[in-house]
Amino acid sequence: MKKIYAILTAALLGAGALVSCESLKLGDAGLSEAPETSGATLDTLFASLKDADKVLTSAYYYLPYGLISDFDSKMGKDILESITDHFVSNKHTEGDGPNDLYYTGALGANISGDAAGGEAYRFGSEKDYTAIRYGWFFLENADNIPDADPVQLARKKGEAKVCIAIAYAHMFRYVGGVPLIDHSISTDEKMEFPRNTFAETAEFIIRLCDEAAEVLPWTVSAVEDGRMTKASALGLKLRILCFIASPTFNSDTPWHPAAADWDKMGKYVRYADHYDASLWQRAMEAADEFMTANAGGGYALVQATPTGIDPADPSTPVMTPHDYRIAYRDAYNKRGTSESVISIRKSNSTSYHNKNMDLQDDFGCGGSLNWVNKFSYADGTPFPEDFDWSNPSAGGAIREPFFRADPNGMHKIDNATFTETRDPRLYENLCVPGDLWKNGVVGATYQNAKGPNFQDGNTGFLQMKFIMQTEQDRNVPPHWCMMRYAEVLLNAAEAHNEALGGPDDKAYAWANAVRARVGLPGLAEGMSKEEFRKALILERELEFGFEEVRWFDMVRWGLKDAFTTKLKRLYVIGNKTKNATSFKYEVMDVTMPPRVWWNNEFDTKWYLAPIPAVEINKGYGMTQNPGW
Amino acid sequence: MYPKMKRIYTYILIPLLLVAGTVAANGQNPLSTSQMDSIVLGNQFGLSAGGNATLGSATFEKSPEVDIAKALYGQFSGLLVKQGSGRSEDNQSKLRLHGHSPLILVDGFPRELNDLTGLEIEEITVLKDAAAAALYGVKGANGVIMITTRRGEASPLKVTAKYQYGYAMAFRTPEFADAYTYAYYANQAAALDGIAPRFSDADLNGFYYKTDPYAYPDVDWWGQIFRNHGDNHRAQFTFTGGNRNFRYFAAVDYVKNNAMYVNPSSDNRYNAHTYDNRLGIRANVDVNITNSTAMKIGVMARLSEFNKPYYLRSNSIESLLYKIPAAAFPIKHEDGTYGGSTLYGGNNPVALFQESGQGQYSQPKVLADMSLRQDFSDLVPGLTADASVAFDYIGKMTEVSQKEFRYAELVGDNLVYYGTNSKTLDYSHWFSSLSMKFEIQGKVNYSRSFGDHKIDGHLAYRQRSWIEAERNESTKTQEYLATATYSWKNRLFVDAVLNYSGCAYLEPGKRFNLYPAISASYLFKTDPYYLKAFASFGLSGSDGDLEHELWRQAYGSSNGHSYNFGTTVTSFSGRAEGDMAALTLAPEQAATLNLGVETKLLSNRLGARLEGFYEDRTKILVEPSNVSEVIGIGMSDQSLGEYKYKGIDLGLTWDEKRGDFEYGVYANGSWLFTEVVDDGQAYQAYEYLYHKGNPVGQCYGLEVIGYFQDQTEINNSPKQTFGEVRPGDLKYRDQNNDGVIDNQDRVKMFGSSTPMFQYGFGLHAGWKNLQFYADFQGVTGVTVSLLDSPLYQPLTSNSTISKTFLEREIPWTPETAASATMPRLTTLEGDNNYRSNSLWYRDGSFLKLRNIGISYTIKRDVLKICDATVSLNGTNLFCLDGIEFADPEQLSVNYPSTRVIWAGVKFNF
Repeated sequence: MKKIYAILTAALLGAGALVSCESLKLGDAGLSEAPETSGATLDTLFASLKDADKVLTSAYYYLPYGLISDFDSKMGKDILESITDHFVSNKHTEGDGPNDLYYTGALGANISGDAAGGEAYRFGSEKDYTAIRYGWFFLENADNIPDADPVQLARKKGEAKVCIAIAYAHMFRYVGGVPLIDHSISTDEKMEFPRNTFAETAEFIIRLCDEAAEVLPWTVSAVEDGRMTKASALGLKLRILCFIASPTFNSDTPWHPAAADWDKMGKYVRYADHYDASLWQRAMEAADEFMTANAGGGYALVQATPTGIDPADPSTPVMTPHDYRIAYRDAYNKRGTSESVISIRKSNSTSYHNKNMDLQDDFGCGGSLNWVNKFSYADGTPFPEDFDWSNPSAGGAIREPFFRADPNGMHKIDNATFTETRDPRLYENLCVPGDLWKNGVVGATYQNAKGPNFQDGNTGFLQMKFIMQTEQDRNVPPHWCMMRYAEVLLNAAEAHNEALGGPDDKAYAWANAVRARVGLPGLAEGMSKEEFRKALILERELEFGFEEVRWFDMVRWGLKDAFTTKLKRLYVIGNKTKNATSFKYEVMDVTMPPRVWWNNEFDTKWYLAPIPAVEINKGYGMTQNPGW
Repeated sequence: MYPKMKRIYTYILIPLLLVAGTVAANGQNPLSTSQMDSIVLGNQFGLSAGGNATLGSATFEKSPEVDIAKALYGQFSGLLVKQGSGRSEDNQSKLRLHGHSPLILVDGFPRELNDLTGLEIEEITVLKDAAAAALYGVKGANGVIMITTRRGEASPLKVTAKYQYGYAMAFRTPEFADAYTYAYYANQAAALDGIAPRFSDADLNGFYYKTDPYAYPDVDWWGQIFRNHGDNHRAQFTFTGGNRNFRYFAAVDYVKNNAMYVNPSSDNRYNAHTYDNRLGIRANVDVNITNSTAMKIGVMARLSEFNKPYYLRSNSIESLLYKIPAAAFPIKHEDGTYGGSTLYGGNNPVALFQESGQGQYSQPKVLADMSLRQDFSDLVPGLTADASVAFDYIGKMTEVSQKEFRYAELVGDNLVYYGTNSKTLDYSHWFSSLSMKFEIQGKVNYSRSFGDHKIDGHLAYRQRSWIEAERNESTKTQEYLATATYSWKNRLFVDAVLNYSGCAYLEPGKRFNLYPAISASYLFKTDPYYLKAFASFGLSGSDGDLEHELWRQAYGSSNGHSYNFGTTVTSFSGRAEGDMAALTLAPEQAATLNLGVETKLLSNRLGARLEGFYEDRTKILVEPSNVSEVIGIGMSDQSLGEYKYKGIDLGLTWDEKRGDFEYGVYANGSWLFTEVVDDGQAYQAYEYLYHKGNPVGQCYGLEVIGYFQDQTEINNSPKQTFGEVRPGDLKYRDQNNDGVIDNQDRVKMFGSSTPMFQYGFGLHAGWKNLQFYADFQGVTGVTVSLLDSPLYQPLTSNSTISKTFLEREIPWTPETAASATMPRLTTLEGDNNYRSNSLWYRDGSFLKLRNIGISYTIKRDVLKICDATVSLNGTNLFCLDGIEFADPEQLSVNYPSTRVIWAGVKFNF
């Protein structure tokens, strides 16, 4: 009896326990299913082309950007132009790259803390590999999209490939060969990604461009503006071919002694261990490929619209310097022009750029006189190197350094009478004494215009590009025009000149088109290969200030002079402390901040960025660059 | 400027010298063997071998604080009680057992200390040995604090009633500068910053002569908000009784704490008093249903109500009081409008206290558990089975009445008004949080003796779920347990534990881990002295840092960014992946070795206990450092870290009774040595930058070598890269001689934020009806940073300056350059100076008188119906430390820590 009682109780106990817990399951089941993830699944990410496009958007988002923004801290929120001979940065903000790392020569493989990120390129910390990952992530899963329109799908895949190519090209120009990741890495993969050679990396980028070009349209509609096109792919391919064909990377002699050992280091930073003439040939073919594709139209330089009145014939408007300035400004600033080959967009907000770009003003940053002197007069006459700044009006009205005198004898911009005397591009790149600057007031280019953040390093020229004269000018949806048709033209002219041993008619035509857009006469005829090359390098300086072109030209052509020449500035005194209307000038040396490149024997290690030791020590396969 | 580390060691000797004594409340072996007629809620598995320390309910009588952990200061060697901060509603001390936050079990179920009142506690045991940790599997690695609540006894009804009043005073409050002093130093700072002075000479005169209370206000904001004391009321009743088959214990506890704030009363539509009200009722019932069936039920219900001005609901008034200068604005302008300014906005502390409305939380809490035991001896001798279930529910309701107020700033001669006075209150209420816990356990026990041999075995299944009212916050664990205990002649004890423990945070199929442990003890002698040695070794786990979704890839829009295609302003949204899954994900694993001896000498008067422990903790979740961003997305933390802990716990007691006089002293000391083996730190350019080999919590910083005296010195020194440097700023040593002072010049300095040595000692004495006790607690070998106190960053970010600072320190000026103890004052951010460096670190050692009390009992034969005890207690009355201006445990901005004088009376009917 007792036993039965006990068994009954036990049964009750067990039943009680079961009832008290709704699911008394054992093992994993008892721990229940893993809770749902907090967002989408892989399937929902690729449920339709529209959904998948959002993944592609992520690839776009992580593409490199040239303007100062919150997106990255490149140069410590400074601009790449600051380490060329065009510009002097006096920012000295915490982690400022030009001052902390480049001018002092402190850049190295062991930068950490606040200074890390102040580099022009910090391998391992930039977002390029994120763009690359999302590109591959899209490509790997795109075929799983149900009911995708095959034409659209192929096109999206092409866009993904151009995004990957752009990200690699960005890295490649700073560090040479890199680990080529050709898929989205999964968690259980072995963390071994050995560095690929310079040639492998270049060919990888070119191959992606070629594959993308087969499926992409040549142009896109206004709604799709900013999406990658066949022109983006071919333009990038041409840029990369010109880069690798250039003498620094394509030569019988290594550009740095440490690169002499081909297997150890050379192959990562040179195309081959000898000069390879076929590279220029390929560049020329790429140029022709682009131009052939463009024969039916699509890309053209933004041309000026005349608004001036000729007293002799008031019925026909004539070009004014201001008209050329507007055309040039639209070319780099405005979305959706015929000149935009690759355009990157991070934000719709104009304030996003204003607040960051405007800081260029606050610390006495400015353009060098060396650069300014390279801009010719508006009629193409070179600006004299021995210009007498103490008597700037000696040469007459059109030989004034910046502006003709207005009826009151003042040398400042007057949009009514169009007083600019120089290449219109000068005024759009730099704010010269007497010109209006942001918010429409006379730029504080002169020493007695001491604002709250005035610094003695004032060079006499403030950055104008991307800042511009008025809020109104800036009030367009911003973008970073990574490649303009003007660059394609000059790249093509360069490829023809180098491949053919001198400029052909096409090369002349392309280069002169760029000059003609701002009203300048064509280049002198009958130039040799070397003369034409020099003219092109100069033309690129005038055309692409602040567009991240000069640095790479200095590197690929090995322009040691550009590194080592001490910079000059213009000491300017205005007639008033505010809104000055006439100026006195004196040429001075840029002394602060001095550059280590000026004092010591120049080390070509600066051509490529150091790889952070932190990154090399992770041991997956990255190696150091020459000289670091 | 390096510390005098030796001084720290001298402190270690203090408690040792103070020791003299025997047996203790915590000396005896608490783990009695289970009885057939009662269910064991504490040591359910009958482990016998471990050396665990236990304290009884009397401990909690010593501290009337709401937070019961405050009774435990220095009571257990190895258990560090860190004083909580804030007002009573959230002032909960933190427990650290050998550096970890232990699992707290109340009647066998995981609960929080603040679920309980001291009244309910029967005993508290600290389990440090490996076998005990393994019993709790994936929750056990941090050690276990086991609390059992009081049960009824077979006796007629016994009733106790107790009332206590506590008078709370702030301990070490800051004293802020008056308006003139503030203005004077603000100008001095501005001059040193090279910027225009903030106040004109006329302003200074105005502040000095107090010519106009509206134009030149001088407000003691602290005095406007704080009264000189807070009030505590506590009433407690217990009822217990029953017979052999039915026993009950019931308790009622009521607490009301009025904060040390003034009680604002400007608006009768709401109540902005700051108080903490709690009413709790517990009922524990033990029933023998049949001769072979027993049941225990425990239910605790408590309602807490926390009330305060609306502003305090999500803001700290103290952070305003540390910031707003006396000269900022008047409380009210001449026309009765509250003062404010464009610089400080409407942050007028008085106005916010009186006019922001009311915020109230109410927190219902129910903890319920039931256990059943069935004796199956009739079927198999020695066989019993238990089943238990627990259900806890804690909710939180928020109710607010909010309003806005108008304030004005005097600009020139005119008042400029901002904001409006709300005509109606903005009323809302919502359910803020919900937390539920559910547990079941089934267990089969077998216990037999064969001559000198006794075996005791258990098989158990345990399942727990934690349910939180947020997505992916809920989790579960499951455990399969087998334990076996063998004892021989009550001399040798061997326990073996196997716990197969699973955790829902882990990937299905990989959720379970096996935690084995073994412990043994041997009793050498019991007479004339007692000597026991014990040892344990085993594995245990901790899933405390884990969360769902770490092991798998997440997708969604959280990392996605929009992009702007098109020529016009059009945004296209993006979607992205989450962090990459952590393939190594696992619970932290502790491999623990414990060794110890316990003895009682000199007729049981002297008790001593010495334990050593070593713990290798692996699989700690750390940020992976050797992963490159070539992967393209972030990487989840990986279970790859490793820390080592070792130390010694020592406990000594002396107790003696001579006639009517009895007394006892005790001392506990505990050394803790920690070492980082791998915290995921990446490659460093210099050897000294590595954490490896250093203690956990080690302080790092720049080494200060003086103050810059002039610009020439700055120009000739290595470039300091933390913002602008001016004369009077700190000058740092260039550790790597690279000519630049940056984060690579940070070196190991001072000690760790985790105390290396902690101790407690105290005494109690009784003579006839008079009782006295005192408990001290201290720590040494701990480093604190003055940067935690805003008093040491005066004037920065428009904050005020304190007399406390000015009386203790000499800021650098060109005149005081030789005697300066602090860098120059600045009204800017001061980024060069206010960063971790050797100037700011201080020895955070302290010795505090935690609880002291005296009581007198009037016996029942006098009062006839009951006996009565009157008592006087004090908490935190005395502190010896090197910080002096603030509580060394609380440098940061917070409600001040308190010292409380309690008076009480207790009746035993």
